[in-house]
Amino acid sequence: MTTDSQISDHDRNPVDVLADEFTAEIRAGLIPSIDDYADANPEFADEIRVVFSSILAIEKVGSSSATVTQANSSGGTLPSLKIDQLGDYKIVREVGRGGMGVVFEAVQQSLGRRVAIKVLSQVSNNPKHIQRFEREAITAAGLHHTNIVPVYGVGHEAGHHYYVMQLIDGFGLDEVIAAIVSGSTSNDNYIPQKLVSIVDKLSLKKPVESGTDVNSKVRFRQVAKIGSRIANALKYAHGQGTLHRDIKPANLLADGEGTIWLADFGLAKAMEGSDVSRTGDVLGTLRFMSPEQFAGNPDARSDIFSLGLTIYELLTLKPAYGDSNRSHLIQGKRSVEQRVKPATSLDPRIPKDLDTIVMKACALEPEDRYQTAAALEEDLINFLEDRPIAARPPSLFDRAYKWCRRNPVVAGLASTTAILLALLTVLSSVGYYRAKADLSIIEFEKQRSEVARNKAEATLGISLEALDKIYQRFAPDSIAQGALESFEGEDGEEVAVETQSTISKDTAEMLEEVLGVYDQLAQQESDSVTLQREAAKANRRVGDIQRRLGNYEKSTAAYYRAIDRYEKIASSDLPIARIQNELGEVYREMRQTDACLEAHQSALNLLQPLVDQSQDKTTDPLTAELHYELARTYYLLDKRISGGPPMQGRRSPPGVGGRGGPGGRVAAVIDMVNGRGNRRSPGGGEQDKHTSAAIELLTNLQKADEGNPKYSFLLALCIRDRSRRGDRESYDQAIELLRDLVQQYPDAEEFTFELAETLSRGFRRGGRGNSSSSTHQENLTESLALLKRLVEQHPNVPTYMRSLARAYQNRGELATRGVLKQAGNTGEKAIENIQQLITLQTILVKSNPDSQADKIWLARMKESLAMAFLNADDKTAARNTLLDSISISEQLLDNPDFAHGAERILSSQYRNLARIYKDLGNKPAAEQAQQKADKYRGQSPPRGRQNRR
Amino acid sequence: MNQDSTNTEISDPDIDKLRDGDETTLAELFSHYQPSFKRMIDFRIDRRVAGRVDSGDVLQDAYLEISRRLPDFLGNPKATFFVWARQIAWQTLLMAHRSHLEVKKRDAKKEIRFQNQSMTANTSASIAFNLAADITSPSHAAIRDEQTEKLHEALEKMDELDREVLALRHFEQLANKEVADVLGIGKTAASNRYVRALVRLKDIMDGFEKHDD
Repeated sequence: MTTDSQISDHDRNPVDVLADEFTAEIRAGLIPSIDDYADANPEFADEIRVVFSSILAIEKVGSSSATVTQANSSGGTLPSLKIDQLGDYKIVREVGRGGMGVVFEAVQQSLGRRVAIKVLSQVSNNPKHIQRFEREAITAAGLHHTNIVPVYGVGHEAGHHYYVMQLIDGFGLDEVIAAIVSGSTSNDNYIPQKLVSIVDKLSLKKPVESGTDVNSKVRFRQVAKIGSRIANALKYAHGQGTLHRDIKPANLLADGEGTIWLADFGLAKAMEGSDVSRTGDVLGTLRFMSPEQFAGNPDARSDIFSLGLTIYELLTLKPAYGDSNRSHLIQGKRSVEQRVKPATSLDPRIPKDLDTIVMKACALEPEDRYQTAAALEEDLINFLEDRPIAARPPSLFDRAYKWCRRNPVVAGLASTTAILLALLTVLSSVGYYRAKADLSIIEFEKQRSEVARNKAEATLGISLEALDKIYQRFAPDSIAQGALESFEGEDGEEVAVETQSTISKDTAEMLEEVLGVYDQLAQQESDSVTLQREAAKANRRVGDIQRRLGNYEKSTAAYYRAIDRYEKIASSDLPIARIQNELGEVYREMRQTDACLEAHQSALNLLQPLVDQSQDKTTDPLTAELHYELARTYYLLDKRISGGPPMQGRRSPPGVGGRGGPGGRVAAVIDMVNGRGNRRSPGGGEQDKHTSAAIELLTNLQKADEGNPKYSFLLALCIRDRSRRGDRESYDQAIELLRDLVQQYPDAEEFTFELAETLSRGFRRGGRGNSSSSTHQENLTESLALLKRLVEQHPNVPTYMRSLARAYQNRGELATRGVLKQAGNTGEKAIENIQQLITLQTILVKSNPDSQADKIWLARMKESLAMAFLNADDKTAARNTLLDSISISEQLLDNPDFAHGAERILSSQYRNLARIYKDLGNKPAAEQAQQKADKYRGQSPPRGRQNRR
Repeated sequence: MNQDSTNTEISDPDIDKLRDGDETTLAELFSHYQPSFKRMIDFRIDRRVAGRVDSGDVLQDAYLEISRRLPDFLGNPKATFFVWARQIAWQTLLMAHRSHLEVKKRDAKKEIRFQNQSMTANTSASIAFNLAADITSPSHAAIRDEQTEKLHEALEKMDELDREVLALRHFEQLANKEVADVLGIGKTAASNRYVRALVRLKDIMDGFEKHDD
């Protein structure tokens, strides 16, 4: 009885158990006797005789073919082959086994030379396959290159298909890598002396773990040399129209002289579609396959990819795609988001240039790789000869920038569909964690392998990253920071209007959906630090989104939760400081100056000690981040002061957006203040100190990382702010910096936007100053062009349209002041200008009915138009337009948040109306209007005083 | 020979292994069952396409499909890994049939129906084909011709489930446990059914041979 049947026979028919044994004997080629069985088991004798003869009938006839096939395909291991002779070739010994076959050393008797014969294990007998196999072998035989193993011929005999090649007396680089790795860890593994000497010959020995040593330098150069030779071989083969399709360390042979040979050319193609019982080897090959090869359309760049990964493995001695990525490989889904970690992250001694070359070679997108093997070879030689390499490492910004360019449709879509995919992935990952939480049994943890969890976490990370990117496209941070703008009323009163960037309805809806996802994530409780960090991040995102939706209280609450979470996982203070700065921004929008100041001050307190410890090493990315955040904190501390006078105690309320429901998405705060004096900051010296500190930090950062657009951008904003104190030079410098950025990154809209804003705002001192200069006029024209382009590209971003409107407004003001008239233009030009602007503003008001600020702007614009009509002596048009404008302002009187501002405007409007009636000769109407002007004026605080009720 | 007789009734050690292991575990398991799957494919392949469809191709496709669907399966296994994987291999075979027979593309709904098509329905045809194929071996052609004919006729006369059990045990060479899992019946029931089927087969064959003896 076999062990098998003993174990499981209790629930089986005893005759079945015996039948199994009987069948096994038949299949093993024995001729068991039915009588023997019957005699040995007398209690079942009759049944045995009946049943067994049936078995005999079936087995003898039925399954004989199946039995034969079984012997030939016993799973992953190859059948042992006992071959003595194949045609002209006398087999000497077996030298190796690969997935595709067994390699023998043989002697070609007619020529008396030693050759290698690869007998392929699983070539089907399908004539089509055989034909292809032979065709590919002939092509391979036509390749003559010092680093390609020459193919002598191909044949088939006695059911064996074989490949005859030059015998390379050496080892595959996979074995070399294994020897290097195990050689440095233990002496337990036997490594053939020959292999050791080859490793020595190649100077590939693994360097000692610590210290920068000559050894490792030599090794990396050696790898580059190997890479360049193989690239050269590929250059040649590709030129002959042949792809290798299966480049991997195992197919690179190193001989005793240290020469590297590329083997098995075209074999992958030849074997395609043939019987694959070489599962294990499929995995080995898949690791080096390019994404497009999975998709079935490899080209020369696929070979470059595989060579890139091979070089990577030689450099790091670790596979580029580890276990956690394997399932993706098997599934043929090398996700675009799955990048190889930079080789330097595994071994910092790897030269940066070499890393850059390898990373470029194995970029996921074929377009991002070297386009030819020649280009790869050239760059490797550049490296070897210490020349600058052609490849450039992509910066984070470059990558994001590229992403936006690659996804213009997604980027431009203000619809929820675009993000559905990302949402789904995140949600399913959340589901995974939820399931885990429900089952929160230790048992479950045991069952789930580390690999599976890491995979889920990685997937989640990738999706979140994608989600973040999409989110950023809809609501870029820099734009959301609410631009402060002011304009002058007719009587010289300066009206400052701060409009928090209103987001479009579509965007708001999209953000609300994203919010749901982040909310779910934010509530996750888990032991995993990764997950807790994700939850903290998600809370921060919730804060960001709520802020954009105008729900300030929810926003601050989420930010505080994020800070709590970060503190719980004992995170670095940097993310906390970042959030403190965000909080400051919210409080600024809420007009709570004290809280705003406090938040930025907390950020400063957190960052200062970290920066002090970091000792100015801005070359280190983390330190650079710290310095940058510190600079931002300084910038924001100043922004508070220059952004307007302290606001607490004002009637203008905080948290406008707090009003519930979707309607509460009112994201506009209007703030009208008396112009005189409030530009002059109370603590000028303090301000100076902060801005200067920020500028100094950023200048240093730029030295270490020249051309980093992030630094240049913040620097430009700082310098621009400094210019508000009357520094003309700074203003020009800011514009120059921004212009450079726009030129370098024409598609980065926040740069374009800030440049346009800065140009449009003009340089002012105390409000008027140079604003009527011809430079300003030119600047305005440039700004208009930029903004028009932005609006065309992003019709769904109200901020851009609003800015455009404002630029028109500014130009309109110039016109009404007669600047344009002096230049030979007539008032018609001014009127046309303002009319264009009103058209735009009307669109804005219609598409954002909740935005009261836009209505106020519209009222002001119509007032300007009326005055332009008056200047052009069209009194009737002036009166009608002004009445129209007044009716808009009066609508706002009912809104407690805006009544105050509306009164100020109405006062000015009625005063102007009185003027018009006077000109029209209608004295009673003029007097009535003047009374109203006085009435509204009386209700709003007298100008020039700091009384803000 | 019994590939899985260490299985307990409730759980499937394969599934445990897959949960604990990495991707190579699946590769190992697949290699382990591959001969069985290959027999299933060789046995059930539609004779009209047998020359064109390579069982290796089917296996490879099946492997990719299995690895793709594995996470879902592990999330909620409704059968042992073997049964599930075999089912996928079979479905893959059906797809191969379909594309080679140039059945016009069906929509998704029909596809489900197609997949649910009973495996047993085709067993009889498969047996016929397999038996016929054997005749090509020349040395025993004469003897086999007669024996094969009889066996085929006998099997044809049997109850569908009996025939299926015999096909699984002898043509696909599955163990009793696997047969039980595939058919969704208990191990004892499967075992008894098998012995009974063999007895019936003998009865029918004897009926043919009466006049020979």
